[in-house]
Amino acid sequence: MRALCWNGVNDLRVETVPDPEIVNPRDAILKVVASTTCGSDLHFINGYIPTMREGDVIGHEFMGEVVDVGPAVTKVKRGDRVVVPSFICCGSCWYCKHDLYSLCDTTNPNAVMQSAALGYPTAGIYGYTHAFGGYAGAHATYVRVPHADTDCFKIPEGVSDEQALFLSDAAPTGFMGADFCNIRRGEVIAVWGAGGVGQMALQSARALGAERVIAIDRFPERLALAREKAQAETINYEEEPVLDRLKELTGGRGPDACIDAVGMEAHGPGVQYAYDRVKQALRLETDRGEALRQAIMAVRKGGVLSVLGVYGVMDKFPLGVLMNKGITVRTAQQHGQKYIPKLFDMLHKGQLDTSCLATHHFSLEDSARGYSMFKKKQDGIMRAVFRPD
Amino acid sequence: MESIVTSAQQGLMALRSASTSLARTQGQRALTPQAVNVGSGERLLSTLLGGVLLLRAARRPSVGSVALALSGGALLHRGVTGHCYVYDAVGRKALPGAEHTARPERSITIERPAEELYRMWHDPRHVSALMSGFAEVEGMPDGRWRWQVQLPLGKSVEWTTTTTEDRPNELIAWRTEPDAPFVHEGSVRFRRAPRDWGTEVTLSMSFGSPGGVLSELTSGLFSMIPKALEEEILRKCKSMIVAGELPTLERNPSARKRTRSSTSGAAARR
Repeated sequence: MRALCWNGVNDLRVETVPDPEIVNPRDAILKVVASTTCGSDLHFINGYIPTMREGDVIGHEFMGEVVDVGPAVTKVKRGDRVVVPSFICCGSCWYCKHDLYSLCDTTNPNAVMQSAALGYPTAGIYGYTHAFGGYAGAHATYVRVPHADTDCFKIPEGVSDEQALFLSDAAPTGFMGADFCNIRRGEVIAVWGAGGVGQMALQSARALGAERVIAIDRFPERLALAREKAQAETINYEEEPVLDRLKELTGGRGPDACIDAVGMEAHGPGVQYAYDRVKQALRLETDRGEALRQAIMAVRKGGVLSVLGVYGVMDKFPLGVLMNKGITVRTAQQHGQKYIPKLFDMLHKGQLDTSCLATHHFSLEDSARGYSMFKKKQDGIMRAVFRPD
Repeated sequence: MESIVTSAQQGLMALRSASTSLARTQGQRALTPQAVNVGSGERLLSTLLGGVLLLRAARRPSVGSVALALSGGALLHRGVTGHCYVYDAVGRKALPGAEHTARPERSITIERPAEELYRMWHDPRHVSALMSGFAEVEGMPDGRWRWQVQLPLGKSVEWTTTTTEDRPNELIAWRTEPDAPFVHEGSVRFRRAPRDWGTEVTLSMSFGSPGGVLSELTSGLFSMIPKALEEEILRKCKSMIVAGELPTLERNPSARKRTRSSTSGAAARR
């Protein structure tokens, strides 16, 4: 089959690789219908997170058609049109039973390697680093899905491929970020980063009852989409001082909750950003944490900080600010299996628009160019969607 | 050329006799006690360096080489016994808490009752699956276990263990038989976990007799080797019993291997 492979820093190529096969009895094989880029892919493409190997098939956000199932699969059938969360979960361990799916304790083949770095291992992911399992990704003709009965969600009639695609990662991640904020009527939620996950967080915060949502980004088209789809107020951080503006918008209190949908490669106008940029380029630190630090500063006393961005080991983390302001931090990799049924319902009720993220379309053969555009954020791209021929 | 197995076994026998004689010296020291006051990493370095110096001295006998041999011998003694007279003189009589080298162990919590886990650890099929990647383990009809570890160049080392303790739903312990090339001891313990967590399972595996060189090599500084092995085995145990299968990258597509051409792939399924 054909697949988009990582061959080194900033070196992606579509290559011919072996087809996946049923290996374990609970596996299914999907014929990929559509897959999409994620901002977290940029971290390993740019070489900021370790344990990628040359030749890895990448891609963790996808939907497709079931073409084969293992002997122990009972619910999923050939021909089913399904969406699959990016984390591989067994559905049987303590973490899965307690809806903490991305913390699944049984699906990471490199658990020992990863627990050396994190203390304990997480679930495996498709098409990501080997610390996170090393499973082949979904920017490919076919993909093997372990634990198919737990991880394949049948797409209801009336939901298009493109709408369903983002239920694989962007939508559940954004929704979870808003869910973490415990939103009460009348609250104000600010979201850093108006990319795919940020847009989903803004729309979800609205759906969960936030009175006002505020989007912070530097790309006018992303801010415009946030205004259109989530009735967000917007701050372009290249044009206005974010903290002053947020105080102004909230009567000096600050937002009740702040969501970080940016991660380790934040941009910013200040000295701190320049310092981070140099240090990260020299590999002296893993993270440029400008957005996260700003969110910590901005959130009201006793408020919630919800972290969705991907980080390594961050320098100059303002723990004292968190502590003195009595802030609650909530964070996780997405628990998609918990949220997907709810998200189908929201699509049905028109509370969520996911297909607005699919701004650019490419064939799988052209996916390296898609990533290049996505990385450079050219032509107003939100997400690149790939379809195998 | 002698087979690697034989030389490996000879090596292991040598280690064993070294550790036996060490144990004997330690026994004699009941009269004049000499505590271990050198850390395991340093002991290893001392032993290696002492050996190198002795070999160099033996190659070209001279007045200078006698001095070399003396310091080599002193270092070797320091490495093997773990006692340093210099340290002793400056007041470092023993390593803090070094009386008992703790056996490396790892624990995992598994969402199943102890009865089920205990049964699993008695089932030869399961045990050999858990140990795969480290050793081939085979349950023999008389209740003993035969272990085989593959070495490079198609060679292997084998040993047999017997169960030394078996408390239903609590503990299984095993140990090598006296004629084994080295001592291997292991145990798996089961303890009820709080709430709905199931059972806490602790696996302990040690290699070499206590105080012996092999035991030193796999404890202290190098205990990460058996600990990583134990963690791998416990993770497998958990995945197998909770998720029903082992997570695997077998036949995982990548652009690395081009030898495998898959014709049984999904194209045929459409």
